[in-house]
Amino acid sequence: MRGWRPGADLGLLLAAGLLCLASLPALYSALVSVGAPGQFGGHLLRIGLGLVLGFLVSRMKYRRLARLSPAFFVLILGLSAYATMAGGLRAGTRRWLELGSVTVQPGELAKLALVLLLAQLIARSAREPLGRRAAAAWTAATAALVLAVATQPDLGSAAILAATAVGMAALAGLAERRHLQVVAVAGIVLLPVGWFWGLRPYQRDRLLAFLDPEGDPLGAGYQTLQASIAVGSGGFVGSGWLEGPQTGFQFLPAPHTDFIFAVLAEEFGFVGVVAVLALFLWLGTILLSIAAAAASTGDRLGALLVGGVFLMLFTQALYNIAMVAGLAPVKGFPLPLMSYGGNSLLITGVALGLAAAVHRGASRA
Amino acid sequence: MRNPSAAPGRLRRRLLFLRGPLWLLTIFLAFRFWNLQVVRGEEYARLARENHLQTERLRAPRGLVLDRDGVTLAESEPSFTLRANREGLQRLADLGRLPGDEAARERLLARSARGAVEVESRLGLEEAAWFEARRRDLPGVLVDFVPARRYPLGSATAHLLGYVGEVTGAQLLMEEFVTAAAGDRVGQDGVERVYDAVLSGADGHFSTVVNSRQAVLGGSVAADPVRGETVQLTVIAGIQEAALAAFDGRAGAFAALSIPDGEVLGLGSYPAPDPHWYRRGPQHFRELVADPRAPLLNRALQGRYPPGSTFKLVTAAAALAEGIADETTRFICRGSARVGGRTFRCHLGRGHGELSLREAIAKSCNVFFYRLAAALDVDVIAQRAGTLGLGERTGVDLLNEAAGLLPTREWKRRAYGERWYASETASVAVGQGAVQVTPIQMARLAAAVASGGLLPTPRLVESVPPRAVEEVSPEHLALIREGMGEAVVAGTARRAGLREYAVAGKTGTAQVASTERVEGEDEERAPELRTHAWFVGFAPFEAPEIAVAVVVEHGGGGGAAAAPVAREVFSAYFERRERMEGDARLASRR
Repeated sequence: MRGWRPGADLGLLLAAGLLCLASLPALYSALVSVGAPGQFGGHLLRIGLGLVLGFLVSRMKYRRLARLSPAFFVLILGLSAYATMAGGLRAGTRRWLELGSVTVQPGELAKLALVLLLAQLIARSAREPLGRRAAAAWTAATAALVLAVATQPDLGSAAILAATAVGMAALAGLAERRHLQVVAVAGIVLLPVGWFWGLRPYQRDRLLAFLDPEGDPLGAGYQTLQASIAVGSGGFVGSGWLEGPQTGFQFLPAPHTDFIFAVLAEEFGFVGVVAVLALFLWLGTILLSIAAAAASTGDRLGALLVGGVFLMLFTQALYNIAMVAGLAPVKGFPLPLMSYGGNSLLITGVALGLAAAVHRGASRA
Repeated sequence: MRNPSAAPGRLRRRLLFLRGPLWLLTIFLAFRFWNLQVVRGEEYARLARENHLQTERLRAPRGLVLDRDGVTLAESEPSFTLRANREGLQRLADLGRLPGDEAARERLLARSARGAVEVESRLGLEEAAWFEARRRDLPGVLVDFVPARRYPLGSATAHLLGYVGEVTGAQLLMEEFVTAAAGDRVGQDGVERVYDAVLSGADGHFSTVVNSRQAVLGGSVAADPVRGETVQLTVIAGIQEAALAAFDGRAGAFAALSIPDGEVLGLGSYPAPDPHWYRRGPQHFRELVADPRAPLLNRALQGRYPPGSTFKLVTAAAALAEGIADETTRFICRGSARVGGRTFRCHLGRGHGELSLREAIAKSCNVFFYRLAAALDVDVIAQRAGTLGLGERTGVDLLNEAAGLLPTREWKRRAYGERWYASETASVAVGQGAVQVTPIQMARLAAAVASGGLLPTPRLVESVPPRAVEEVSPEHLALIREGMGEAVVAGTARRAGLREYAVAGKTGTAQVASTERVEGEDEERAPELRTHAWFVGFAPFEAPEIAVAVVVEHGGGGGAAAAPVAREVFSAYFERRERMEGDARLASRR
């Protein structure tokens, strides 16, 4: 059948591996510019760790993992709430928990926890569209986690969570009037509340700055403008490795994390951009194929799980790239598989491992 | 199927449907990057460069202007300007290095809201070095090197050299200033203007690489400033100084040319401002512009004067060339003559008696020339005067030269709609009426007469070959020269004479108002109604080297006022020649 190939898990490994590989030169360049080239080894190590973790997960029984999801979810919810109250303050937000020498970002873990829980929840309800109880559970779980993450405040992660949750509900058949009403009402109520209460002043500035980046070049629009200059100055083939002036002279904000794609665009030009976009496209297509294949074999849990993983990774990736291209307000979250940061890499490894596990289950069935 | 109520087909369809947005968004993003990187790539690359490269201009010192013997007439001296932004001002205040009182400081601080301000304009070398040494500790404080122009001879060369000033908006549009940028200082008049391209050199650039916090990561000279080239003039500094002293505050002008090449040996206009006047600010400039004595006007080139009796040289040449007169022609002067129904007086009331052309020139007899005028047409006079360089620009390498005026029948009809009267020809023959000449034209005329018919183009730098005046024969010019020689020995120009060298010349006393309007003797009139004093001549008589024209505005008689100035110019010229010959003798003996 179309879209399903026995080698899909190999494709998954290849696409993800190539994306990691493609990120390395840009990441090294970014680390040099922030004065921490020594961190590069640690990043390689975490890529390896993500690979191992993904491999282990792919060998596990994902149904068993899914059954553990409520407990995992409660743990993450607790961690997020704890981070909000007692997390390490960095750049005015409490997104990080120091556990010994490891820094945990509950916001990253929350994405995985939500995908697992919602897949389990929707698959168990076994009705389409969702029954009233399942819908209520969906709403409660999503709202609790989004709120916990949003108040850290980590609005970027909260938005990704919300988008993933809505997307998964849609996969389960949200196209009923009742659910649409719920979403619409929630949205209308949350928007103004979010603006005045949920958004910090700097976040409001960022949103406004996005609408007119050149109006305030040294204010909040500065990051968007500098990113656009970095991207644009790359031209067709880029300025060359370690040669990007925007990166090298530190005009690009957060080059190794949020704006890694801008470094790539500056140093490797349109050619590099298209190559990475193609890899992401390939990865997304494989994920959707695996999910569709699972669905056609009646593996509702597997299909929803992989669908959720797709939604989680690609809302994040596409938003991040759109932000670098100056099309979306600046939000601080990493580009999966490419940005510096262990949490994101390991979570992505586990998520792709889950997809591989579903693929294995489907091919065995 | 474990979940019969959920149709697996629908979930599959929805999952596969997601491929649509995935493709669409990816392609959309690719287009966006195409637009940013390929379509607008150049623009962003420029922005990236401007982000981290800060370019400072290194001003090129202007070239020197030297006189004929290497005496410095214009030079650049180092000048430093202290500038600071708000942060820099604060630091200067902390160090107690802010000049002025409390109010002045407040004003500086207020102005600094809009950017860096000038704290001190003429910083000494030592102070400049003090600030430069502390550059790293004083961010926001900048010492600007601006080479300033200095003219060691002061007002003696004011009009000749012109001045240097900030390029104007209108000039930026001119071909001449195509390489200048706003804020550049360029030659604005005189030699500074005409030879600006040679003198100005090329500014250099110093590029600094900075990061996003404006910390300097390194710097390099992208281009060294190239000093402007030296311009050596044909002018003699001693002549400039002697003339300034001889004019002694009177208004007027002189021009001295070499014979026969027409190299400008001296050129001056008075009153002459201090050439550093532009340093004193706009108020001083407005005063100079408003001054009724017009100190900014270069009279040697732009002053249009009636030539008076000096024009008799032209009338004589015309009469000789037309065959109306020759060396044997004699007329009797009884003190007056009637031409065209009008009675004209000679300046000697009792009359000169019988005279030849040579004597008429020496004694400046008007009646003799009225007689010639009776036989000459004004158009003929104008045509002959034209061949001797009057009524046209001399082509000197300076700007805004006036052409003067040679009246003709055609000119009068066009200007006044009237026919020409014979009596007017008589006025023209003695350099009155509508005739207008500039001092440099008269010096050129003297050079042409002295050289036996070589009309030079006055040049300050490179001489061009003189033009031969074929319409007047060398024999006729020799006759005129004899008259000029006699004028200095025994005639009206005696006060131009030197003991060691034979000077030749012709004086002129040009009326500025018609005789009917003025009463009494010239000395008793109001200053603005007094006559202009002229002297036009050359030396040495036997082998002419230098031609001179002098006009002293409202100076009275040419012999009394202008001839002594010319003598000082001649004397300065020969003094230099003797010094040079003495040096050469010393050198050969060694």
